[in-house]
Amino acid sequence: MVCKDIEDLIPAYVLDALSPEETLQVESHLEGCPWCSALVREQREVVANLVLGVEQVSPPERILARIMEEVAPPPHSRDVTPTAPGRQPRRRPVSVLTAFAYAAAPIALLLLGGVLAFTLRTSGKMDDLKETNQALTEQVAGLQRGNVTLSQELALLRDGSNLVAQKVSELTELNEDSSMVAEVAEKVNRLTEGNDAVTAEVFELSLGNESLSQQMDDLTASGEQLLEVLRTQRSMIYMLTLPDTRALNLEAQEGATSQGSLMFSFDKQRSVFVATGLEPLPPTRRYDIWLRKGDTDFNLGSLFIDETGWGVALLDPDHTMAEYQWIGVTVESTSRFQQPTGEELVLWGYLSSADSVGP
Amino acid sequence: MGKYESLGDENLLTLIAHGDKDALECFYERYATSVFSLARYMLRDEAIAEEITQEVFLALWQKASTFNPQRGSPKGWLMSIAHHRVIDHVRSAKRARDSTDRVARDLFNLHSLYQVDTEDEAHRSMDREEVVKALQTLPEAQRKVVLMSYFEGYSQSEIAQMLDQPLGTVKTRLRLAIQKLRAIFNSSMVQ
Repeated sequence: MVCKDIEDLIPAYVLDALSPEETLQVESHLEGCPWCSALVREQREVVANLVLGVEQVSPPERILARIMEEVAPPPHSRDVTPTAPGRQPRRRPVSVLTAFAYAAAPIALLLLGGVLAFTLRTSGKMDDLKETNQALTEQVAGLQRGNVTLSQELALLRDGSNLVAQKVSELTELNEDSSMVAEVAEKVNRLTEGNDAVTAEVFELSLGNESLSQQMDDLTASGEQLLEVLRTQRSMIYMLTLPDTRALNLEAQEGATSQGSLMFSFDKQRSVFVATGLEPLPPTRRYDIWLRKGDTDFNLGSLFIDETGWGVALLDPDHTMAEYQWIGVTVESTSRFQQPTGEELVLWGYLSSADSVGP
Repeated sequence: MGKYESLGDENLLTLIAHGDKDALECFYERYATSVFSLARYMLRDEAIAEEITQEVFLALWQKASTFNPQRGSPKGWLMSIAHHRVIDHVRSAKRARDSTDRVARDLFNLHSLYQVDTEDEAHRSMDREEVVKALQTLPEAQRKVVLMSYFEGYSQSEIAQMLDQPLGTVKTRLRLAIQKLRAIFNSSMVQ
C-alpha cells in the first residue's frame, strides 16, 4: 500500500476502527514511513483527548497497590536503576545498629553515636540521591547521544532529500531535453520525408528537363534547318530575278528515281542545288556535292534530304560559277572528307549545258 | 515521588523503562483517571474497568522500552493501549449490550463535566468542557461516526453497515472529524 492509501486509514487506525488485517497493513507501512508515522502521532493526540468528554472518575486506590505489587523491574534495567526493586541498598540501618552497639556505655558516646547515626542516615540518603542523580545523568547522556544520533539521521535525511530534489531536477531537465530531442527527431523525419519528396521531384524534373533539352535541341536543329531552307529559297527567288540565271538538270544513274537541278549565274558565286527522289542513307553515309575546276573537285558540303528524298543546298564556292565546269553528287562515308571517292556517283552534269531561265 | 512530578511524560517513561516504580506511580497518578473513566464508560462495568486499568499500567511497565515517540506522545500511546484493551473486551463480549440505545444516548452529560479531580486536572492540557464543545461543533454525521468508533468500539465497516452508508462516506467523515477536532484542540493549546 502506498502512503495515500494509508493516510485514508489513519483516522480509523487511531480510533481502533480498522479490521485486524487493515491494522496490520497500517503498522507494517508505519515501520518504514516517518511521514505516515507523524500523521499517526498528530491524530493520536486528538483521539487521546476524547476521553475527557466522558465523566471522569478516579480509580479505587487498591488498583495502584495491586500494580505496585505486580511490577518487577525488567532484568536488563537492574544495573542502571537504583530505585528498582531488588536493587535498593538496605545496608544503612545495619550501620546504625552497629554504631549503637559500639556506643553502649557513656552518654557522651551515646550522644556521639546518635550524631553518627544521624550523619550516616543523612549520608545514606545523600548516597541514594547521588545514585538517583547519577542514573538520571546517565539517562540524560543517553538521551543526548540519542539526540546526536537523531541529528545525524536528520542530516542524512536532509542530504538524501537534497539528493532526491537534485535528481528530480535533473530528471526534469532530461525529460525536457528528451522532449526537445523528440521534437528535433520529428522535424528531421519531416525534413527527410520532404527531402525524399523533393529528390523525387528533382529527379522527375531532371527527366523533364532532359526531355525538354532534347526537344529544344530538336527544335533548334529544326529551326536551323528551316532557316537554311529559308535562306535557300530566298537565294532561289533572288536568282530567278537575275537576267542571266541558268538551270541545269543533272543526270542520274540509269533506272534511278533521283533528279537534281542547279540554278546559277556564271558571274555569281552563289547557286542553289535541289534534289528529289534520293534514297535514304544509313547514318554512316551521306550525300556530298562537288564542283570541278580544271582537274580538281571542290567539296561544297553535304546535301541533307528528308524522309521523301527531297533536299536543297545553297552552294557558296570560292569563285564565280564561270570558273567551274562540272557538278556532281556522290555518296560518301561520314568519316571521309575533302576528296570524293568516286565510288558511287548519283547525280552529275556540265554547267555549260545549262539552260537560261532568266527573265 | 515529589522529584518526579516536575518531569515530563517522556522522561517518566524513560525511567519506567529502566524499572523505576516511583516513575510508574507518578505516571499512574497522571493518567489513571483517564484510563479508568474510559474503560468504565465504555464497558459500564467498574470491576472490569479496574481490571483493565491494572492491565494497562502493567503493560506500560513491561513495554515502556518499546515506546516509539514518532508515533505519539506517552499519553497518546497509553490511551491507545487502554482503548485497544477496552475494545478487545467490548468485542469479546459480542456487543451484548443494546447498541442502539448507546448510540442514541447523550455521551456527554454536561452536569458531570465539572466533577473533575483537580489533581488530575493540573496535568491536562485541556479540560473537559473544551472537548465537549469541540465535539458539539462537529456536524451530527461526523460526530456520530467518531463516537461510534471510539466510544462504542465499532469498526468503520460495521458503522457503514449500521448507518447504511458507503464505507467511503464513513472514512471521509472520520477524516474530516479528526481534522476539525485537531484544529480546535490546537487553537485551545495555543490559547
